Amino acid sequence: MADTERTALVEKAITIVEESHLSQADKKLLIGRIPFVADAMLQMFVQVCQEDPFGADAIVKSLKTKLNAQGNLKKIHEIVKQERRDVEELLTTG
Amino acid sequence: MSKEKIHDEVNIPEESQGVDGGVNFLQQQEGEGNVPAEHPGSSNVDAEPEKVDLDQLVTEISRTIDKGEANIPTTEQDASGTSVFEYKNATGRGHVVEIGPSGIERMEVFDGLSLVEQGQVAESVYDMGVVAEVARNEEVPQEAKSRARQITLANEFFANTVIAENQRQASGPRNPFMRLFEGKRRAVKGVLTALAAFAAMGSASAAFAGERNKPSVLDRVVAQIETGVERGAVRGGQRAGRQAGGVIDRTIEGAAGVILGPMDQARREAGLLTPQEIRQHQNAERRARQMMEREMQKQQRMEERAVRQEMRDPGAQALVEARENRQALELGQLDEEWGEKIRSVSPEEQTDLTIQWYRAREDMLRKHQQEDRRR
Repeated sequence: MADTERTALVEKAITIVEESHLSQADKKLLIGRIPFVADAMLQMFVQVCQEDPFGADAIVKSLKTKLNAQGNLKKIHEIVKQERRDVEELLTTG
Repeated sequence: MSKEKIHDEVNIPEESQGVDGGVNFLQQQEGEGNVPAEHPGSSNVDAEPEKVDLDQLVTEISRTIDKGEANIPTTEQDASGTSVFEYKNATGRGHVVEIGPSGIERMEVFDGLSLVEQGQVAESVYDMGVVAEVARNEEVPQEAKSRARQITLANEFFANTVIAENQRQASGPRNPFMRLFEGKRRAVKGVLTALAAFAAMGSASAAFAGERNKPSVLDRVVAQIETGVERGAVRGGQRAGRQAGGVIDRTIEGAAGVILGPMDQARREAGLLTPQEIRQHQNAERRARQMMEREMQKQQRMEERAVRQEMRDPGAQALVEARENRQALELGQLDEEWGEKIRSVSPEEQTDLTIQWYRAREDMLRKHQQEDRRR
């Protein structure tokens, strides 16, 4: 991806977060990391947030759950396992 | 605003849709890799969502990865399609993970993590990979895909945050995220590094997501340890191995059986082994131990015979062979004893004991070398 495209994508993602109804702390949490997120993931971020106005909330919720585990691998393991189960359930119930 | 409209406006290049840069596994599988997806990410919006056969889906994905068609997004990828993820902590020690077309090719054993934690990380990587695969697959129902994308993005941000934290720790200035980890007495750096590496892999690559029907990621870790043991055993007695044929193989098998013990324990504690698997492993360990004992007795008899022969014919080749066989077996026994010790302690203490085991091994190898030189 060209630098200009990347820059545009970063700006778009930041704008989405700024215009969202997330708390200031949560906005800061996301915006601080956006410049370091991989291109493909950034594209997905933009897409998800534009598809669903609450997309950013869901992302932050999942992110904070893992951060709140404070590096406890067992807790993170449980969270990740549960998330996979949720997705698989959605797949099977279609 | 309709989702179709959003897609038109966003105008994301088709080749960059999805986590991996847009490879639609199922289309490629059928030889239609260049057929444009009609509305990536929204294919099931208007239509009644079809029930997806998850097993079939995973099989298809797995087959595609097997064929080397998976397009793995990485920061570094060589011509063979192998990606190397390398993360180092402040001390310069780190974790290396190689992902090839068929999934994880190599994982170094994690620094500073107990075996249970290694198992948990490995399983988490696998789980994140499964979710990421759903996130990038255009064929799955919209609701599942949306949720998978949200989770995958959260994993990406999480990995990113942890990596940043690691880098900041290395470079000095503190940052607000570190507060989350304050108060932890344990080796935070090791944990953070492993988390960062594997969270990043789980979210960004998803290459191993189709591996459900193959050995699990954890099995790869076990295989990696086996390889390490094999290398050690071979190094300890390769000449003996060449000369004595099967002896060294059996030594390796015995050592591997012993070393797999702690890993099994970790897997057991993590609830990853069925009772049947536990019994199988225990039987294999017992057989390996008995085999080693028998082999040791046999070699002692051979060496005694060789000593007698040397008295008649100094410098006989038989003596050299017997000595080397014995050395290989001594090494195997050492491994066995340490395996027992490691298994008998708590997961937190296992890492230290493993380091001591390696040292004891090195000492024995040095002793054998001196013995070789003396004779």
